[in-house]
Amino acid sequence: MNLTKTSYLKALAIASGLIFALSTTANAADVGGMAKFTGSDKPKRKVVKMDADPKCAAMHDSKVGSVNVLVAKNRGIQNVFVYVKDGLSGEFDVPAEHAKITQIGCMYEPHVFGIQVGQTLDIVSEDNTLHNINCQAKVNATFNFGQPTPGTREKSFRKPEIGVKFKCDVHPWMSAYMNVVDNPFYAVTDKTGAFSITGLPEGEYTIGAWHEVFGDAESTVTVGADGVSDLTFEFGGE
Amino acid sequence: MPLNLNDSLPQSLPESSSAESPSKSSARSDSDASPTALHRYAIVLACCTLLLVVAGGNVTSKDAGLSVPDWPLSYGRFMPEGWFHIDNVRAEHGHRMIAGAIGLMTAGLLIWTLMREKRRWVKIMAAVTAGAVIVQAVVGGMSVLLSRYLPMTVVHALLGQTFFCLTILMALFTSPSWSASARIAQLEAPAAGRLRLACIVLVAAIFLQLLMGALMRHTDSGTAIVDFPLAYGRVIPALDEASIKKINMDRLYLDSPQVLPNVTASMILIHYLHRLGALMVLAAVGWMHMVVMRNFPKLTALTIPAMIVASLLILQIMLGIWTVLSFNQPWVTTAHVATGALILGCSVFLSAQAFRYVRPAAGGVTAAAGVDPEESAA
Ligand SMILES: [Cu+2]
Repeated sequence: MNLTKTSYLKALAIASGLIFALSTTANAADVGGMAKFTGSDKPKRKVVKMDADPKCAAMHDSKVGSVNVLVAKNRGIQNVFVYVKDGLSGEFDVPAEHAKITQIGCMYEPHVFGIQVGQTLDIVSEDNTLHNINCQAKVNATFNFGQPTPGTREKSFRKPEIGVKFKCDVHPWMSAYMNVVDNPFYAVTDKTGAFSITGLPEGEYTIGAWHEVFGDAESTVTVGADGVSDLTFEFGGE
Repeated sequence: MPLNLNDSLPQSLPESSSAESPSKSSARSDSDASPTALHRYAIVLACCTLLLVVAGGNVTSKDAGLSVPDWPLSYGRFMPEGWFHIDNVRAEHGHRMIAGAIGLMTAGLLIWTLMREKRRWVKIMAAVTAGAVIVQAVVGGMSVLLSRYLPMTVVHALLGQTFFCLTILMALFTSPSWSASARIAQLEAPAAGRLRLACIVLVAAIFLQLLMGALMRHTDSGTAIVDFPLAYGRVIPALDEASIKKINMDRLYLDSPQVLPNVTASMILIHYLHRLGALMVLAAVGWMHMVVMRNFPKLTALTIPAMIVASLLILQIMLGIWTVLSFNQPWVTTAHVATGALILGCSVFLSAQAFRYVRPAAGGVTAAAGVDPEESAA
């Protein structure tokens, strides 16, 4: 009885050890870091003039700034799309949840976003004015349709493509960029320029970064059990 | 060499079409007055067509071409709600409505010409004009439905101004002075060959420049170079990758009212070619002006349009510079487009007059229909 109990415990210990070991080798790690502006002066934001559509102008009490280049005090760049460019194998499930872009206050929210191939994109208008959504894809199919009233239209995209521009021709200041990738490992830098890609299997990867004005950057990283936390992409020259 | 005018030139000949005596003919009965009434109608059509060119140019200046994503309806309706209060929708939908009106007016011109006009070639001309407006409408619609597919938009720009020229020609051909001049002998002049060549070169140069301008506008390259007369501080802009990168960085700090697009080498090149094109047009206008003023200083049928073309060109160059320095302020840009259309129209008008009134010296053999075998020798 005793013996069996010990051996049972032993077996349990070994098994759990084995599971632990296995789970560490296939461990999912995070890759984080920031996009940093290395130019001398931070570019100034421009005031978006919305008087071309009085309804848009009426939606804002304060000035709206341009969003093409957003550099924080710490020199972090917002709205850089960071993704795994190379190194992944296998196929990834298409998420059931929808990605979403909203026209609100005659601006796009978010300005930069990622979506997986095949995933549904909800194109939402919350504005009580005319918008048209003009998708200027180069690899995927283009489209341009109107959303004269609040509502939602669904779209999905078949091929990976970085930097797909959406624009509204009614309101020329409105633009957004969609990034279609074939895996769930991507992120968009936040206000401080920080990003974090979570749950990436250990391995060696090429991580790409893309910004609508500054263009492309990439970096090769080896992701171990502890992940990577200081991956920096520099933009802006000097 | 200069001034081979002889007194056989009738006094009335130089008067061009647009300055007819106003009140007389409108009072006449319809059938009696029809050539003049038709002529006036054609003048009105040409003027309205210039307005249409302005409206169309304005659409591109404001980047409003796709602000109404469907066609022929607008947001599924004949009149989209609130269209007049939203700048870009007003520009695009307004352009469609003006175009519709011009289409009907052109149909009217065709019907009227077929009914009243005796000259077969003028009837054909009216049919060509009407055909052009139909093709133009379809190309415009396709530009929308194909999301501003570049060849479509460029053809739409070129055909629009070609149609404008056709309406000017219709106005000219239906004018009493044109019919009257059929009875007078053409002026024989040794410089006629040179004049004709200068006119052909002029129209071709302007058309080529129009093509460059249309390409520039429809590739978003109007702001691709932001300084003048230099291009990013250089006579010939640098187009290597590092320079482009630096240019795009520098553009972030410009004091433009709008966010400027990133530029590529090809965008800068297209913009630059339009600037070189201005020099080409300047040379062509200068040559034409010289040929007219030296050889036909008293033939106002030529000198007046020649002076108008030259003056418009000076205005046009200034508007072009202003367009650049204002970062393509829409109304400045549209004024530049409209003036370009006027220059093209006046040049076509001048050319028609030149071919009409001046014939190369036959040198013994009578050249029948103004075809000149010695043109190259002139
Ligand atoms: Cu909009």
